[in-house]
Amino acid sequence: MKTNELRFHIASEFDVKLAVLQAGKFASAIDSNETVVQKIMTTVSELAQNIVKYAGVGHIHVRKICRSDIVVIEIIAEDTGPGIRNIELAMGDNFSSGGTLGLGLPGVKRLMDEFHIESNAKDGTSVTAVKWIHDK
Amino acid sequence: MADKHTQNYQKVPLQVTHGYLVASIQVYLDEHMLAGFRDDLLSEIRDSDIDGVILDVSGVSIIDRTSFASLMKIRSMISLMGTRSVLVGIKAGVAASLIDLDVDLSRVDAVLQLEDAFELFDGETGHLETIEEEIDTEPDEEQVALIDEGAIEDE
Amino acid sequence: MNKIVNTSNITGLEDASYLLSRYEITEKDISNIKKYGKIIVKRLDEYVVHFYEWMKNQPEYTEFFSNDKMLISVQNRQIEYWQEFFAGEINNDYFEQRRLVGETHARINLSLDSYLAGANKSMTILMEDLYDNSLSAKAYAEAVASASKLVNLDSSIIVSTFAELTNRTIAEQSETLMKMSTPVAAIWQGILLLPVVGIIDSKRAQDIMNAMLIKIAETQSKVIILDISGVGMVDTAVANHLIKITKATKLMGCECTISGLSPAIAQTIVELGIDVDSIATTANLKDALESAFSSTGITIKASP
Repeated sequence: MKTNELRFHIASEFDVKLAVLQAGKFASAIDSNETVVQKIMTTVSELAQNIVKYAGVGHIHVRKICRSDIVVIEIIAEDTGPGIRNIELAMGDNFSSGGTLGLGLPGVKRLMDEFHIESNAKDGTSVTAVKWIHDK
Repeated sequence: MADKHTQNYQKVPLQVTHGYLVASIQVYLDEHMLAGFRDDLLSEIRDSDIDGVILDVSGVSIIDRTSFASLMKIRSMISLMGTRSVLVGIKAGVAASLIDLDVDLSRVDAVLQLEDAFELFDGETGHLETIEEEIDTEPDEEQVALIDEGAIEDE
Repeated sequence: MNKIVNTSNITGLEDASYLLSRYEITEKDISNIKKYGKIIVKRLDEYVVHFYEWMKNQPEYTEFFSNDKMLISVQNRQIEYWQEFFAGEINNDYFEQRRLVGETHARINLSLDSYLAGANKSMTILMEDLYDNSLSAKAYAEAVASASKLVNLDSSIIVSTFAELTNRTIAEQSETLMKMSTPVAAIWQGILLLPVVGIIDSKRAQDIMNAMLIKIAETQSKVIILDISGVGMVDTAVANHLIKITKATKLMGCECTISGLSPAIAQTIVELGIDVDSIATTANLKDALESAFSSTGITIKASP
């Protein structure tokens, strides 16, 4: 059976690993290009780790979407955590409130073809990242 | 999407001479062309035994900020794969425009001719000319690289 | 009491009242279940007979119930289970018993499917086969609906306990595997090699660094090669670990080269924007080994 969507509950580093591996499998079934697969796995890893680090619990969806002219892989990361106080700052390079390189979110934006982030203290954070795969 | 487009693009010829890979970029640099070039080049480095990459841009008359940034990214990828690289034959007009655009040139290795590149790689002590030194050359009227509006007019 | 607190942490489930409201189980439901219990509890021995007639034809039977002693103990627990069910005292003790069922299934590797099929069959036996028609049609229908809700609640506790424990087992197994997979080998005088396979997380990175530093001290090596051609994914955290590892080895007077960077990983690292100028990297092990030889002053010649 071929599934076009994966959904992961993310609450620990173990969940992150599981999501990364499965997303990699999922992506390589859609596109055999190693770089595309690598970028999908890395994106899932960055977003899932952010969930664990800043929100504690959240979800990652990975799905294949056939648009009118193009096939894409969409990754959505959602949590109901404290939210990002200053999105512009968080999207800047080398900004980190967690003692790491601070390239996670801006890096994901560079890896992917579309990137959208919404965050506030009430609803938490939602990141949508899309990778273009190929023409239909 | 990128796949299909790159297929339609003119490929950059990659030749291996004396253990060095020479990429003669003779076409207009745009995002799709650069993406295809990058993939071909990195695979070649993985598959062949190469001691250095020579990026020959003598046939390129326009390099804007974006395509230069892409070239620099490719340079970093080459270096991550353990291989040296050098830019060869940057046109005077291109060099002048890059300076005007205020791009970061501190990490660029560049020489004027292919011979210089071989020498640079062969003798580890080879003299290194940087773009900053080269910039003394006045921009050639015919080779003016128009990058940003008025980039050259500011002169 | 302590134990209850612990296991409820495992399943992540809240207290009794929360679960009851989540599964919309009302006082009325409880009284329906109790009412039906008056009919059925005295016939639980019959239930067990019916159940094991069915069970005999199930694939798990021989594997798990061939032993008579074991069978009797399981049957007794099953009777207790349904006694509790129809007693309608839904409190933390009740949940604790359900968690234990999930735990037992996970421990002996009896699948969730076999539990759910068994629960399904039990409901048929208890609510249909053994029903004595003593209630009004309305009261009977209500009793069935109420019992279904409670069975669903039971299942949710058992399933989540089961899943959590299974996940934990997998995590523990993979951790053990990873511990075993930091084999630092001296491949030449003064040169160490550590191939890494799989996914690097912070725990693993710590293990790798420790293993490397200990071996460097032990062998007084000048060069260590960390081959990552078997690493599935590099993100900013992994890159950060790699940078830290090379810094730490340098402090011990040992140069670290990271080999096995594929085009895909090289592209990803650069596009993430990570500055890796400070670390030495190569595309393959051969190049790393060559540079290790030259920096330790070893020359290799083919015999004439």
